[in-house]
Amino acid sequence: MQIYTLPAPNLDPLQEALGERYRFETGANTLERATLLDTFDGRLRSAALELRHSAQELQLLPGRDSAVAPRSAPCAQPPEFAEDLPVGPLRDLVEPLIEIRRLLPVITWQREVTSLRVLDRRRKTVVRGELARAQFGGHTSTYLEIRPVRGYDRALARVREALASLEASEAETTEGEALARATGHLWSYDNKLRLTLHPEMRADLAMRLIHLRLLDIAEANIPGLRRALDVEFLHDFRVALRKSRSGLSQVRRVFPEPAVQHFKEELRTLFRRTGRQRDLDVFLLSMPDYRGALPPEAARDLDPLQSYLERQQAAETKDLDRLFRSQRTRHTLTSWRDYLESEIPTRSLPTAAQRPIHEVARQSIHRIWNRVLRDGGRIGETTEDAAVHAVRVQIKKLRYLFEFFRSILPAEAKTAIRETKRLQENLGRFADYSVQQQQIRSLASDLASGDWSNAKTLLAMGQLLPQLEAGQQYERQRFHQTFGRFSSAANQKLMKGLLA
Amino acid sequence: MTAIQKSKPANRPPRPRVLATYSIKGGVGKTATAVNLAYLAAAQQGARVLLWDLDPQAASTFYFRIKPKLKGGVRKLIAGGSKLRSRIRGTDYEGLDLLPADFSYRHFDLDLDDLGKPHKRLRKLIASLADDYDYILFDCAPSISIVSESVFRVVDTLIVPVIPTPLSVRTLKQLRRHLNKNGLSVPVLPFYCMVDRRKSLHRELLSQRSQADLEMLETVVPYSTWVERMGLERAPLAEFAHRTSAALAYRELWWEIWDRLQKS
Repeated sequence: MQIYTLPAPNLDPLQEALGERYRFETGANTLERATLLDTFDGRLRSAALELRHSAQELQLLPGRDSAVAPRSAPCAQPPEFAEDLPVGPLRDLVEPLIEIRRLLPVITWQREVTSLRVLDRRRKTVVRGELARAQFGGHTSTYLEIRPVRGYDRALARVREALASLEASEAETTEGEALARATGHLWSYDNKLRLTLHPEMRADLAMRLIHLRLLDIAEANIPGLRRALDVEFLHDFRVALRKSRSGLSQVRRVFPEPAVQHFKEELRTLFRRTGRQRDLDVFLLSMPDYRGALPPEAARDLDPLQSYLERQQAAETKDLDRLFRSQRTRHTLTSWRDYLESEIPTRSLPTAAQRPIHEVARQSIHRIWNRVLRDGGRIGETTEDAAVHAVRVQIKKLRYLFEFFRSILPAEAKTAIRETKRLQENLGRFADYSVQQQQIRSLASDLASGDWSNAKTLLAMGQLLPQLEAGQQYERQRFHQTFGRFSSAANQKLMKGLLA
Repeated sequence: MTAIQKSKPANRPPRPRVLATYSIKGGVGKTATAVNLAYLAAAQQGARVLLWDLDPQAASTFYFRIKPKLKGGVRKLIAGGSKLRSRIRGTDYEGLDLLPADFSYRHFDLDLDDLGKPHKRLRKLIASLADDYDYILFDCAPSISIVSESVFRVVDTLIVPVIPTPLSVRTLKQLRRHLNKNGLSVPVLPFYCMVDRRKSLHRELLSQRSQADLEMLETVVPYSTWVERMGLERAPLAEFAHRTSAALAYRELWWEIWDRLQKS
C-alpha cells in the first residue's frame, strides 16, 4: 500500500497521464468520520500500523515501513479493548500488540472518500485505491491511497509513473498519523527513560534530569489513572515513583539530606496510597488464570469473588480520583518539580553533587551489586521468605540504576543487565505467588464476614492456595540457577571491569 | 501439584487454514460456495485468502474476471514451487487472491501421479504460502481422483454442499465411507444448499436433517436465481445482492464454519 499527497482532489490529470490502456473507475462519493485509535503509549504507531474506525468498519493500515497487508472487518463501534476487536486475523495482529491497554481515540476527522479502481481493457481491476479529502482542525489534505493487486505489477508501475509525472509526493506516514502530527495531536508518551547523559556531567544535574523525566512519566499517567482507562496508567505511575524513590536512596550525597528525606517520605506516602488499587488490578488480571487452574464448576464458584473485587475496584477508583484532586498530592508533585527545576545552589553542596555522574553512577551500582552478591549468596533451602524478598528489592534497585545510567555505561554492560533482569523476573514471580496467597487468605476473611460468598466460593479459593504455593516453590528452586548465572565468575569479572 | 501459570496469549490457529469445497457429484453449488466463502472470509474478517481453482472448467476463475491461463500449465506449477507466487492473481476484492485454473488441469491427475508423492508436493506448495495467507480454499473438481485424494490429505476441513435429494445425500455417504476406508480423518462439514422449499422432496429430506449420521451444518443455503446471476455479474453475491436470502445464508455459513474451525 502506498499513500500519495495530491495538490487537489482531481483525478483527471492522472487519467491523462495513464494513457488509454488503463482507465480509472470511481465509486460513490461518501462523507465519513474516521477515528484513529491507539494505546496511550502508541503501540500501534510504534509497529508502523494505523487502526482506523469509520463507517462501521475497522481498518488496520500498514505504515510505510510495515510488511503487514491492510486488513478490514465490519465493526459497529470503535473497539476499546482487544476483546472488542472483530474476531479473525485483524484481531490476531492487534491483540498481541495492545495486550491489556485501552484503545483511545487519537483524533476524529472528516473524510470525503471516493473509492477507485484502475481497470484494464478487460475491465479487470488491476490496481485498487481511494481518494480522500481529509479535514481536521483547520488542516485539509488530499490523499491518494494505492493498493496493488497481486499479479498486475505492470499496471501498478504504470500508475506510479503517472503519479511521478504529476509530482504527487509519497506520504511519509498514514493519513491519520499525518493529520494528528500536522495538528499537534500526536501523543508522545513513552515509559522508558531514554536519557543520554554526558559522563562528565555533574551528578546533581544528571540526577535532576533523571528525576524530572520520571516525574514527567508519572504525571502523564495521572489523567488516565484517575479515569481508570486501563490498569497500565496506574502501573506506570507507580513504577516511575518507585524509580525516583530508589534514585533518591541509592544515588547518595547528591542532593541535600533534608530534601532527600522530605521527598522520599512524600513519594513513599503517595506510592502507598495507590497500592490497594494496584493490588486489586493485579488480582482481577489474574482471575482468568485462577479460573483456568480450577475445574470448570469450581471456576464458576469464583464469580462472587470477581464481583466483590470489581466493586472494591470501583470504590478505590473514586478514592484515587479524590487522592489526585487533593491539595496534598498536588503539593507533593509540584514541590518535587519545583525543587528539581530550581536553581542549583553553589554553596553548601553535598559531597557528590559536583562529581562527574559516571563516577557516582559506578559507585552506586557497585554498592548495591555487592550487596546483592552478599545477600543473594546467603539464600539457602531453609532461608525465610522475607530474606528472599529483601534480595528481590535490592535487585530491583540495581535494575533501576542500570536504567538510569545506561547511556554512560559501556556496551558490554548489556550482559550484566540481562542477567539482572532474569534474576529480577524470577524473584518477581516468587513475590507474586507469595502476595497472591496472602491476598486470597485476606479476601477469604473479608468475604466470609460479609454477604458476598458461600462455602463454594471459599472452597474454590482454597483450592488455589496449594497451586500458588507450588508456583512459589518452583520459583524459589529456580533462584539458585538464576543467581548462579548472575554471580558467575564471568559476570563478576565483567562487572568488575565495568565498574573499575 | 502444578503451579498456576500466567496466561499467555491464546494459541493462534496454525496459518494458513486450508479448506476445500468438494463433492463427488457435480452441479451442487460447489464453486458458488467457494467463491462466496472466500470473499466473506476476506471481507468479514479482514483475512488474506487464496482461492485455488482446481477445476479445469475454471468457473471460479471466470467469476473473478481472471484469465483462465496458467503460464506453463499446472505441471510446471507443481514441479517447481518457486513459480507458484507469480501465478497468483489478485481479484477485484481486498484480501482475496486466486490461483487460476486452465484447461491443463484436465491432466492434473496424471501430472501428480507422474511426478510422484502427490500430497507431499501439494503440502509443500501450501507451506510456501504460509506467510501470505490466513486461508487457502481449494475449489475441487467433482470426482474421486488422485487430485482429490491429495486434497483430502492436506486440508483441515472439507466443505461439502449437498442438495436435499437422495442422490446427493448418497454421494455424501459415499464420501464418508471412502474417507473412513482409507483412514483419512479430515473433518467433513456438509450443508444443504440449493434448497427449494416448494419441493416436497426437499422439505422431506430437510425435516430429517437432524439425523445424526449426516451431521449437517445448521445453515441452509436456499435456491436462488441470484446465485445463477453470479455468472453474469461475475462477482460474489455480497457485491451485488447482499440482502438476498442466499447472500445472508452464505454469511451465516461462513460464521458457522469459522466457529467449527476454532473448535478443531
